[in-house]
Amino acid sequence: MEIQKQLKSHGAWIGKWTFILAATGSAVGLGNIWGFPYKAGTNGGGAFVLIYLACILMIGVPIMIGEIILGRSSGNSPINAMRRMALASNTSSSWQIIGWSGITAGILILSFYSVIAGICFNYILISATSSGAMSASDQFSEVISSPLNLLFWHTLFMVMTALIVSAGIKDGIGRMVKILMPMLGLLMIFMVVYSMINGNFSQAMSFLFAPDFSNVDANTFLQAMGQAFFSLSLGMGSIMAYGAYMPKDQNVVNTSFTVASLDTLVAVLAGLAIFPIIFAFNLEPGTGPGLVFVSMLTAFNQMTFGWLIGPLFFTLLSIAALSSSISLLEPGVAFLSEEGYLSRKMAAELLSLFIWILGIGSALSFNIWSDFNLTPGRNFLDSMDFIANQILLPLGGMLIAIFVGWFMKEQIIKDELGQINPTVFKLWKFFIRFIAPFSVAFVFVSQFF
Amino acid sequence: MNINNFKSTYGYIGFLPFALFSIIPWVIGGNISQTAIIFQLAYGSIIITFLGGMAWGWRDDQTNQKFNLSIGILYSLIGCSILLLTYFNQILLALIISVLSFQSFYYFEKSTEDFTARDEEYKKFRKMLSLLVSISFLITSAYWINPYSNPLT
Repeated sequence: MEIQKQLKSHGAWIGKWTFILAATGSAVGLGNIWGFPYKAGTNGGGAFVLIYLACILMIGVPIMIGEIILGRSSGNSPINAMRRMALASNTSSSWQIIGWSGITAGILILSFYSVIAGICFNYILISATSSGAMSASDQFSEVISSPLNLLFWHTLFMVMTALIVSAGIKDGIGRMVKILMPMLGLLMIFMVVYSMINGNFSQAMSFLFAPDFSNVDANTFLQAMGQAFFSLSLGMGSIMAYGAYMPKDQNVVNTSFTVASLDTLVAVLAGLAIFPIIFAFNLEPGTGPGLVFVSMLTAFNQMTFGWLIGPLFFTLLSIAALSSSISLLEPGVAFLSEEGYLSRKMAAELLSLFIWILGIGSALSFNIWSDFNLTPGRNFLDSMDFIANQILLPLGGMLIAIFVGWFMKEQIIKDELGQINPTVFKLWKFFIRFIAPFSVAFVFVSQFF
Repeated sequence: MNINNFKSTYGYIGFLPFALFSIIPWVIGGNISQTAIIFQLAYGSIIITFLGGMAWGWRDDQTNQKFNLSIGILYSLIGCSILLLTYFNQILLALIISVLSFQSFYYFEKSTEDFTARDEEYKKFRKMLSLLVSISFLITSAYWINPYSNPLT
């Protein structure tokens, strides 16, 4: 009862689109903007897209439905949600470890994500003022070699994240996603139209979608499964926390499909925005930060309206990063405030401060701490990434699937799903019980080999 | 199936050639792209001519019906001019005129008394269909403008 009272203080989403926008904002991040298109292009194009869609259907969406059910049914932050649902299902409250693992993963990810997102902020200015006299790779080296520069932008990004989350669900996150997500959509459409008119769009289409089944092997399936799981922000408690604020009359299954579709659409559009430019300037479609901070800047330096298109592109990246970062901070803040330890504002400020301090290590990993290994063979940033993305998230996702599929009381699930086609329910049950846990376990184990 | 659902189903079936002809150049490319664009323009000119003819079926006793008939004929002539421009290889101009024609015809139809009397479902359907057809022409225009894909460069 007390917990429910606290929850009411968080507020709730207004309208069904707020949850969809917030969850899509959480799912659409830097990873799937620069990760999905490259993986698709190098793993069989259309063949990879088909496998990825199948993985979304069999792994991503079932776990997302599970997370939303857990969040909405309990109406609590992930830790309390897991504890309440475990007790309501007459099983051990130790399942709350899923919540702890998710919140920890969110904190660790945000600590280095904020540094990288800070670089995106910095690049809005750099791309607007770059004369092209300095090469893009030298420019990137200069940016990351300065600890003070990285810390400044990291601080700015964390302050913005903290301000949004501390303002609450309705006035903070809810209001911001309604501004940020349409802005992201418009910028994305603008970039795609620009690339369609000026870039080598045909080659990009062929790179992304021409199916090449000769390139498909076991690794392709592994890449597609990993992408389907990681791109939807699963296993970190964000969707569970957002689900707690979801109106009771909103259809969980349809909403999950909408979020997964929008996430995939943005990833595909990102590919259609980036690769035509890359191919037009004969640049290497390399993966990761190098693609956006080096290859794209090289292109912006050379193109006619690069001073305008460049900042718009990095604004788009920054918005995607910001909408994800607020979802990483929210589960922890919700837990601290609903437990009554701190007010929501104070919880957001203190947790952000803690993450900011942790992020200093990641910022220094690019320069003065580059030789310092926190875990064997990994610097500070890579260690945070390893612990969160390679250990905690897959474990969390797997445990969520196992709990919802095998231990959660069926009546609670049915109450949350409402009127559902029995065949769809049976399919979902099969996926969450068998396919999702084994696939995520496979992704988890394969990362170590 | 009620008559409105019937109309919208047939309307969307009629949209399929627009979608197909605008996607073929990007997906297949090569020589077939120019043929697909010409087919799209020809099909568009037939449709806009047909839309212009719709004015003849509207109620004669509504306000401005004489004006409506004149505008309707204008759209039929625009359809003919799109075909001529295509024949004389003025593809980009024909594409731009097509986008403008389909959008402006929607606004013209929307301003008539007959349209205001229609139910909401039909109004939404007309709006969506005009938008989709215009987008299909814009996608083709981008293909034509793009220096990497224009079949003439």
